[in-house]
Amino acid sequence: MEAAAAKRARASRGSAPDRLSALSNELLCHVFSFLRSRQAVQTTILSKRWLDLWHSVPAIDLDITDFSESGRRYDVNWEKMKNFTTNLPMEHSAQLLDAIRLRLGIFDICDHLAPDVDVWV
Amino acid sequence: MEVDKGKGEAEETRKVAEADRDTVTLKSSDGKLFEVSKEAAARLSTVLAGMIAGGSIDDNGTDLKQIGSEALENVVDYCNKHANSIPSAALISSSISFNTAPFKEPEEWERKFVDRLSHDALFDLVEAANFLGMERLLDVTCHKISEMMKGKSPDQIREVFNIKNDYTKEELEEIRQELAWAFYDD
Repeated sequence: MEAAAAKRARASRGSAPDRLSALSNELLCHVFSFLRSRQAVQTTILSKRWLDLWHSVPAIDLDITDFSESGRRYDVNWEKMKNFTTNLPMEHSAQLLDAIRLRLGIFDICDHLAPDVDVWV
Repeated sequence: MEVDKGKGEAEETRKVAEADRDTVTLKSSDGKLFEVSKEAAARLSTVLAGMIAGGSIDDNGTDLKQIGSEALENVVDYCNKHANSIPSAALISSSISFNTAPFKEPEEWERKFVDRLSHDALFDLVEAANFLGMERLLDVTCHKISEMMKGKSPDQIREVFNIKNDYTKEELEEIRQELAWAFYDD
């Protein structure tokens, strides 16, 4: 019974209003501030409403696992994240950042990575 | 800090009007009345704190014309639960939390509180929290929405929220190229 009701509810969302896109830019950015930066940037392709909204999100949250694939070497993942991280601030336009979070996994303190991190911060 | 401020404001109003009441009555857009702890309302909502301090609280029900009864019931429920909740020590000592971030992960009861809401009720509550200047409730509800997006592909997100893709194929391709640094998945 319950499953059937849930299924109906899901199906009926087909014509339901899009409550998320209807939020103000300010509230959408608030939602974005809880997403990792890579996903926040990718929301651009949801619809035109979302074009460039991520520019003003007041937080940057980077996680090496977003750039990792199983079986791939850490330094390759690192290059992917580095590329993302180098581009992000150039496109970002928030006046003030409330938070920056970096999650780098177990290699946090590898000496050869440190200069890159210094540049971002 | 905020707690002290809320209490101080509540104290002052006590002199002004409604002598010893420790609740305030709020009226939804559809005319339903709800009682809420005055202390919690003043502590959690900057707008209600201002109204209490300014003496513009109506004993017969303060009109909140922008908020429907379901959303207001959830606001009041949240305030009253908050008034009774004991601050969790786990929040302070959580090792994975980001120490300098202003946002603290939702507590267990806050998670349950937003998890039981319907899709529409969640968004109504976001708007009510925003209108009433309830920073914590806004954080908790927006965090819940972000969790509904996390780890999902654009197609899956469109499906969950019923977002219409109004880009042409060419436009999408152009964006993917411009933002290649965010999209590559090879």
